[in-house]
Amino acid sequence: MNNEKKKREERADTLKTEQTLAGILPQEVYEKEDIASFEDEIGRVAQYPFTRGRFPRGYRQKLWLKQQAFGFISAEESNKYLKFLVEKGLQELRFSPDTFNLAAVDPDHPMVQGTLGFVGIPVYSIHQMETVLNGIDLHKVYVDFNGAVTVDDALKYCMLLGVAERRGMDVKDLRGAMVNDPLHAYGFETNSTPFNFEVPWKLTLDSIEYSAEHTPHWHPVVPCGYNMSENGITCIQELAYILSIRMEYIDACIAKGVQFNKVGPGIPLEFACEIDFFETICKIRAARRMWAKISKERYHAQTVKEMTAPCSVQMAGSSMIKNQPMFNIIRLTSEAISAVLAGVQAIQLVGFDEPLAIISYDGGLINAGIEEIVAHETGIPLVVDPLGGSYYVEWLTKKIEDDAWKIIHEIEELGGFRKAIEKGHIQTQVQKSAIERQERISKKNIIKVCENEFNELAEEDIPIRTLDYANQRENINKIMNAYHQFIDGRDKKTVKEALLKLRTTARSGGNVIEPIKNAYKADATIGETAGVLNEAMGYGYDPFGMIEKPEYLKW
Amino acid sequence: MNERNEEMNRDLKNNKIRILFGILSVDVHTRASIVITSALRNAGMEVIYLGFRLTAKMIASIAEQESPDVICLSTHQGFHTQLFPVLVEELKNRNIDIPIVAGGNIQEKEKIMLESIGITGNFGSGTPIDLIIDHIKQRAMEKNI
Repeated sequence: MNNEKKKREERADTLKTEQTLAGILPQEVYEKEDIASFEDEIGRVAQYPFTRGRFPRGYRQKLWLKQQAFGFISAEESNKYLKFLVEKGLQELRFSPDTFNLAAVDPDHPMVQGTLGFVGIPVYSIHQMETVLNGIDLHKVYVDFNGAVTVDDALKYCMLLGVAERRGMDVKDLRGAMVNDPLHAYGFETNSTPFNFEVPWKLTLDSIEYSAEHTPHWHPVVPCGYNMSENGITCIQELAYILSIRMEYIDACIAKGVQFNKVGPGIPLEFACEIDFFETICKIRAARRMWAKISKERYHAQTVKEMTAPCSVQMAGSSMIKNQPMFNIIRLTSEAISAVLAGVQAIQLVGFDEPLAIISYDGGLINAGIEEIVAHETGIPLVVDPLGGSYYVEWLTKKIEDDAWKIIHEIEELGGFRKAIEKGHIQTQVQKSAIERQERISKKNIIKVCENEFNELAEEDIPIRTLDYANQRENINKIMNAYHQFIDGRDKKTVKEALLKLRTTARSGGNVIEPIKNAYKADATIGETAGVLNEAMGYGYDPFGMIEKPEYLKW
Repeated sequence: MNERNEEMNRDLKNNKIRILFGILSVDVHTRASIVITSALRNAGMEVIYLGFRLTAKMIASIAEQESPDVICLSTHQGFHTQLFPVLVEELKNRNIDIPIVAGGNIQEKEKIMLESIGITGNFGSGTPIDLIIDHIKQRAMEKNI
């Protein structure tokens, strides 16, 4: 015990590491002269280059959106959890996709056997989407799809359009967002389905085009720094990749005939919120400034809306530590404060139980509590960009910006993000970064309490209540029985006719969003729409090459 | 422990441990795989990295062809309780006796079931990589004795 006490005293004397999470070595002190050379670039709140934020009254004008991922076991269970979250004040509900949704196949596909309901909501037809959203007023919540690694988001968007129409709602009133970003999925080699890149690329561009005309309050693509960051890259790479990807989509849409002012402002920037407090703040401040410069210089943006982009964060799942998971509540709170100090427009906390299982009811409740306490008790949101002008914050913002520009220029020299993927550049960088990060953790250059240091604090785990999957086998059987009944009970002629229209549109190069929506309204499934689209684009019905096309879909 | 490591390392020089490394179904969480396969290679092992998008049948077929010393499975999305036993069964049906080591998002209560069907390690996030390497070496040695 005495030894332990001595150890603790020694520990309190010095820092274990002197680098930031990205490996930056800051000075001990920053003074006025450290920012003198670029002080003019900082600017004022609500003025170009928007380092300090877009809104003159900040959070007094509008608080950040409280996002929460949800979904597991079944559409019915997910609906219950969704209602629980709405009741607790969470406003933007992010659908977690089930495995077969990620794969864009139906639940009986051999690639996804045994996986139903473990990670997200099993949605194979418009009926499950209706069940999940049952009792939820779509005028009052933001819907968010974050399948991210395949065509799932765009397909679910089509389904949501169908649900809204069936309810008699004007789709113009739909609010929400979807990641829908194949560039990061292919660049990070996390594309769950082996589609030829052209297939998700078409779906993404078509949904941007469709959304610009029909769903003005919907963000059809959200370059997702969270997913990138979780693969082990630094915040500097994340920032550079997000902006490069954003330019790639905007350029492609402009080439397709969509005007910049229609597409640019509709693409938010979503970042990971890692545990490094100042890096998060400065990364987001740098992002605002960099985007303002890009929009003005590259796209000749004129308005504030065109020169700014909504920024959101999702707390890094990898910053949650398995040993002593209750400590993760502290990490989440610190991360939430950094996001608010950065002035983001939306915050999604992960579950404190993230390293153990899908977020539990306790996790959802704690997250709602953190958000309300930070918003209404701490006084932190009262003043816009309260750290603006801090010598260290301004220096670090500039440092992150300068280093990110270098990466952006490298990618530009390779011909843009898509070409950089085709050349294998992004993949190599990601692997290198993941390995480097792990080496730094192993060498205790990055400290993780209860993981690589201070393990004595994890001696007695505080018990937590994770979700119970004990009956999942039974659930899987139930879902599969319902699925087979649905498939057999449909009017296959109507399904075929709707899918034939999708095929014809895709083959002629037309926008496929409307025909996919209509196919869902005619009871087609996720696997059928993805399969018919894939086939129409010349790549075969099953992207995995494991199953034959069903008889009733022989043209 | 050190003596055993030295013994393992001596054997390694003459006969590289071969690892088949994969992720079942469409669990796209590959960060741990990238990091661990790199560490295994640095430790002198030969790693056949299969990535994800795999079924139990696919892994068993490749194991049949490649005869690795150990099969390593990474899991994040929770369905290992359903899928790992299928792989064990598939290997058994083909009379393949290769140790399986797993790691990832595995809950304490699931470890017991996995160990009961011969899957060991079952390392959680944050496990020191040296510990994982030692365990894999040990399983490879046991197989080759």
